[in-house]
Amino acid sequence: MENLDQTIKACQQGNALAWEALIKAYQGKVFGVAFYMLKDKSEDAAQEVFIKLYRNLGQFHSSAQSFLPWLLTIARNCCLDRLRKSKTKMKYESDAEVEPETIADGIESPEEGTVEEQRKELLYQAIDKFDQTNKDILLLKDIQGLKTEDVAAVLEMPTGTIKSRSNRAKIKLAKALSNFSQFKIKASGN
Amino acid sequence: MNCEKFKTVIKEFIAGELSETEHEHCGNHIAECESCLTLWSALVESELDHSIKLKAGFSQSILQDVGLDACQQSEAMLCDYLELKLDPLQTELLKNHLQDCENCQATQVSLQILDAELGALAEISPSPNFIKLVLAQTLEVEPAESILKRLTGIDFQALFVQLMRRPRFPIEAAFAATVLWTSFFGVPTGIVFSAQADALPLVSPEVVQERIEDFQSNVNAGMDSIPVVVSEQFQNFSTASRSFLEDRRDASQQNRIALRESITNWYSNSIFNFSVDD
Ligand SMILES: [Zn+2]
Ligand SMILES: [Zn+2]
Repeated sequence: MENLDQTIKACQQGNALAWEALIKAYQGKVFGVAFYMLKDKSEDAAQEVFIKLYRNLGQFHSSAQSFLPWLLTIARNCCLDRLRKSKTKMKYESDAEVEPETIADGIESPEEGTVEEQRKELLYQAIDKFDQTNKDILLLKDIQGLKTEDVAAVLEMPTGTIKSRSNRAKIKLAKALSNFSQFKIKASGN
Repeated sequence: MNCEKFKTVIKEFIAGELSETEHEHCGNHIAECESCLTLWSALVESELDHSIKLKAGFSQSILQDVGLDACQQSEAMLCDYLELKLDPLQTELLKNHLQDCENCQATQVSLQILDAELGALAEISPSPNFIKLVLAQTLEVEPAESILKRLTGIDFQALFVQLMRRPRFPIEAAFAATVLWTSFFGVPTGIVFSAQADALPLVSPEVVQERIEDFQSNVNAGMDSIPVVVSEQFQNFSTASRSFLEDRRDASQQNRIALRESITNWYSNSIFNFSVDD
C-alpha cells in the first residue's frame, strides 16, 4: 500500500477512514494466513487479528517495511492460539519429516472447481504433509514473500536454516507435484 | 585397466557404447588417473562443441561411478539459480547440467510453477462485509487513551511528552503528589505517633508530645514555603475533586456533561499550567 507510514499514523490518531483503508489493504493476506493455518473458521480468526491489530497499533513505531512482518506475526500467533485451544489435534502442528515420494500418497484429487482451484487444493494437501516449521517457513517466506531475515526474526531461527529449509521443502514439493501432474496426465489419457 | 587400454576405448566410452563392465572399468580409471580424466573431459567438451549427441544421463553415470551426484548438487542450487543468486561460474555449471539432465529440467520447470502457485496462496478474498464487521467491532473497543481524549478534549499522550520535557518535571510531580496527599488525607501524624510510641515505650509522654510538636512545626514551615499561587490551585483542586465525587452519586446526564466541562476547563487552565516560582 502506498503511504503506509502516513496511513498508520492517521490510524493511531483515530482516523476511521485510514483504519478502513488499512483493513482493506491487508484483509486478503490475513485471510490467506488464517485459511492456510486453520482451513475452516478462518473468518473468525481474521476478525480477531484485526481487533488485536487495532488495540496494538499505538505501540507500532517502526518503519513501514516492518509492518507486514509484524501483522503476520499477530496473525500467526492468533491462529496458533486457536489451534491450541481446539480439542482435535490439528494437522498444522505435526512434526513429520516427509520425503518427496510420500507427499503424493493419500492426496485426493479434487474434482470440483476450476483447474486453478484444484491446483490450489492439491498444493494445500501436499503442504499439509510437512512439519510445522517447514509450513511456517513456506507460509512466511515463499507464500507471503517476507525477507529471509524477517522470517528468521519471527520464527527465532538462523537465516541460514530458513534458507536451506525453504529450498529443500520447495524441491520436495516441486517433485511431488510434477509426479502428481504426470500421473494426472497419464490417467486422463487412458 | 591401464592408460593404453583406456585410450583405445575412450571414444566408445564417451558415446556410451561399451558393455556395463567395461564402462564401469573406464569410470574407475578416470576417477584415479589425472591425465586420462583431462583427456576425457577435453574430448567430451570438443564433442559437445561439435554437437555430437550424447546419450542422456551419460555424464551423470560417470559421476556416479566416481561417487558424485550431480543431480543432488544441481537440486541444491536450483532455487538460488531461479532467484539469480548464483555466481557466474556456478550458473554456468548448472546450465551445463540442465542441458543434459531431463530430470533436473523437469524439477526446474515445476519449481517455477510452484513459486507462482505458492505466491497465489498469499491472499484469499474475504467475505464482502468483512470490513464492516471489523469496523463495527473496533469502534466498540476504542482504546482507553482515545476515550479519555474524547471525554476531556485533552491529548494525554502529547501532554505527557510535553510535561516530560519540562526541566523540573520530576520535582514538580513529587511536589504535586505530596500536596495532593496532604490535601486529601492530612498530615500523617497518627502513623508517626503510634510508631514512635511502640518503638520507645520507656520515653515519657511529655517527650513524645514534644517530638510531635517539633514534627508538626517542621511540616508547617514546609507548607509555608509553598508558593501561594500553587497552594491556592491545589485547594481549588481538592474542592473540585470532592464536589466531583459527591456530584457523581446522583449525576444526571446533564450535570455529568457540565461536570465534565468544568473538570476539563479546570485541568487545562490550572494544573498543567502551574509553575513553581523561582
Ligand atoms: Zn590413465
Ligand atoms: Zn540432474
